[in-house]
Order: sequence, then C-alpha cells, then structure tokens
Amino acid sequence: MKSTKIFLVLILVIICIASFTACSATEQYFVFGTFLTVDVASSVRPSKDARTVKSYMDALEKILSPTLEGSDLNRINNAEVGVPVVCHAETMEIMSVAEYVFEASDGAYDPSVYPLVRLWKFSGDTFGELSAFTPPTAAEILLKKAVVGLDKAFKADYENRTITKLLPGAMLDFGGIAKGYASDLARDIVSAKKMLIDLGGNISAKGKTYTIAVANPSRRDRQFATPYFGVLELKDGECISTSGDYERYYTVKAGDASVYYHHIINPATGYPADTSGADGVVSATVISSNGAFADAVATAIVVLGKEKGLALLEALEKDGRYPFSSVVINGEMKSETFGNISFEIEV
Amino acid sequence: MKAQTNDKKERRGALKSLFKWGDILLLIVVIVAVVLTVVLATGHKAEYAEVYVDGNLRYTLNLAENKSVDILDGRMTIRVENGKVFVEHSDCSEQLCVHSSPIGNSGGIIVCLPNKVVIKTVSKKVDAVT
Repeated sequence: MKSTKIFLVLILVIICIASFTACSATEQYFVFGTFLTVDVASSVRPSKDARTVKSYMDALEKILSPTLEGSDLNRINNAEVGVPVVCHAETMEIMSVAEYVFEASDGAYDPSVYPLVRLWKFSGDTFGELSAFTPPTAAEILLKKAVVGLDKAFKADYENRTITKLLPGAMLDFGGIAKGYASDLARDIVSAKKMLIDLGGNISAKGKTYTIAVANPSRRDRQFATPYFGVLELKDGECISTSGDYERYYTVKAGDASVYYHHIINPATGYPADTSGADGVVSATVISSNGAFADAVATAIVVLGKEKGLALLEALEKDGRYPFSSVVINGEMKSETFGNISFEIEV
Repeated sequence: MKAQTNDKKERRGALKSLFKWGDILLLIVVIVAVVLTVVLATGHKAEYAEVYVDGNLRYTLNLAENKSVDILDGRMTIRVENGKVFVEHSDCSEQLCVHSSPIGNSGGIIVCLPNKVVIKTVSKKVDAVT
C-alpha cells in the first residue's frame, strides 16, 4: 500500500516537472539567408510547432527568393518584357503592400532597386567579398538607375494574379519586405497560444507581451557601452522590423580614414542613403499589425532621412490603413519616437 | 472556551485521519519539486554564452572563466574575457562578427552569417533583438 502511494506521488512529481519543461521550446534555423528563432510557449508540441513555422518559411522562400530558380520573383526577373507572369497569392499580397509604401514614400521604398543593390554587391548572392570591393562608377550607377522605379518598371494585375515587366533589365526583389511578411503570417499557422518568431530581427508576437531590444547601430567606427539602444514592448498580434546602415556594409580605406558603404540604396540617387548628421537615419524601427508594412516603412525612413521620414509617418498615420508606431535614431545617435510607444532608452 | 478547544481537536483528528505523516512528507516533497522546477524553468541568468552553429547549440561558455575556444576546425575563435564574449578571429569575408561589440551578462547577440554562427547571452529582461 505504502509503495503504491510513493509510486503515485513520484508520477505526480514527474507530471509536474514535465508540465513546466515540455510546454515550451526555442528552436533556431537558417532560412531566407538569415537566422530564424522560434520561441514557442503554451503548446502541447512546441518543437513540432517550431518545425512547422520553419517549413512554412521554406515554402515562402521558394516563392519569394529572386535567386531560387522557379520562384515567382526569379520568373518575373527572367521574363520577357510585356509577358505577364502568374504568381502565388502571397507574392501579390506583398506586391500590394509594396506598391502602397512605394507610392506613400514617393519611391523611397522601392523593390525594383534590385539592379542597383546587385551592382553594389549587397544582394544575398553577391555580398561578402570585402577585400575585392570597389564602389561602382557613376556611369554604371546611371545605367542601372534607368530601370529602377516600381511604377514604370512593373505592372501588377491583382485580378489575374500576374506581374508584368515593362522595362528590359528591370528586376524585382522583396528583400526589404518579405521577412516582415513571413514573420507575421507564420504566427497564425500553428495552434501554440504563446509564440515569438524572430526572422533576422523581423519579430512577431503571439499571445503575450514580449520585451524587445532595439540593437545599437554598432559599426566599426561606433562603439556603445550598453548592449542595446533601448527596449520596448511588443504586444500580441504585433510585428516589429528595423532597418539600419550597420547591418550590412563595406569599409574602404581612403588614406587614414575609412569610407562606409551600407546596403540601403537610395533609389533616387543610386548610392547608399546618407545616414550622417542630425537628419540622417542610422536605424528605423516600425511596429505594426502588418509585418510587411513595418519592414518596408523602416527601409523608407532610412532612405528619406529624419525630417522627410517623420513626414511620411504622419502621412501614413493620417491615411490609417495600418496602425503603427516607430523609433528613429539619427546620425547623432539621438532617438525620436512616433505614435503610441514606450521606448526605454538604455544608451 | 472549552467548546472551541474541542472543536479544534476534532478538526485536527479529521486531518490526521485524512493524512498520515508520510503523506504530508510526500506532499512537501511534491511542493518543493514544483517550486524548484518553476524557478529553474524561468530564472535564467546570463552567466553563460550560448554558441549556435547552423541552428544547433554547440557550446555553452561560462562568462566567469577567461578562455578562447576554437570552433569550425579553427576557422573561428571565440574569446571570453572579463565577463564578456566576443569573436577574436573569423575566416569569413565580411568580418562583421569580429567587429561586433563584446556581449556580457546583460544580454546580446553576435551573428556571423557566412559561418552560420550565432553567439548569444541570455538576459531575462529581453526576449529578442531587432
């Protein structure tokens, strides 16, 4: 009788321990050319949920990557001028948000900037040869700039789900919007009640409020004493994306000084956006219920600079299509917030 | 007064018939186990750095111990010094990881995309970094 009791209590102990340890899991994968971290809580099978998110991301990458053969973007970029390319619903959904932000930002966010991004060797398949890097010439930039401009280079037909190339040499890339979109949509494909999806800093929250840190815009010439610039809260159903000049860049020696070339190309000039000084933006963070929108707007703010960037935010707020808030850090490392946001500065 | 004392005695008697001393002891064991599990499951402290290679946790480095660790057959060296961890050497072409600021017990992350390496210190305060 006594041994039965001990046995039953031991089972109870094991159940208690299992209930606290087996209901959550943090898994890490490599997808979309970056790291995907899935933090699942309150789920019966957390590891399975994380794997489902990863599989979903893989499927999206096969549609949206411009370098994967057979993807929608690859077929659009390789298509003849004037030939409509039938696309997946996801591609059209992203295109719709891209066109909206393109128009609102007066072309500051432009997914057709891809030929310039490739010229500057910042695309996933060209980036990395630091020692071999030399900036492109003005003539090369001018040549590529001629085919940049979403409204003149591509036409979307939402009824027939097609995208048509209008200019020879024009190329489309959803690199500045797809990860925000993927992080947003992946949240709803599993039944886990609480989950955090982090796809290379494009983060979405489900079921609870998470504490998110905004990274310091650290570069070789910028040192910070604190690990983060500041922290904020990401609530259930929200997505957050940050764009910055510190994420991907080349350094070229010019005498004793170093010149930095970062990956956010201004479609209007063909050169990396000017992020220096009080009006330059080194880091822009956007929180919204729509991940694609947050991702694209963050890029637009860096391109536009602080004054025009804040004017864009005001216009978008007035339009009211997506609720959002933002944190903008300028070239003098001063931050400014927009909308309903509580940003705790740590620097 | 006497009636109250009798009442207490009766209640104690009822409890005694319901639980034996062994049962109470086991109940305490269960409660302690649950409390310990909750504390262990939620009370992360960034006294260590986690090194992930291609998404898999490969090393856990004690931040209190100064040392260098070679990973990927020596293609990358990770150094722990004065409670902070940083990339001392990497053969990658970007070198962004080598120039990332050291991270300590308040949390942080260093990423080397070419080598698919993530080094992070876990801070209870922050769930993710954007």
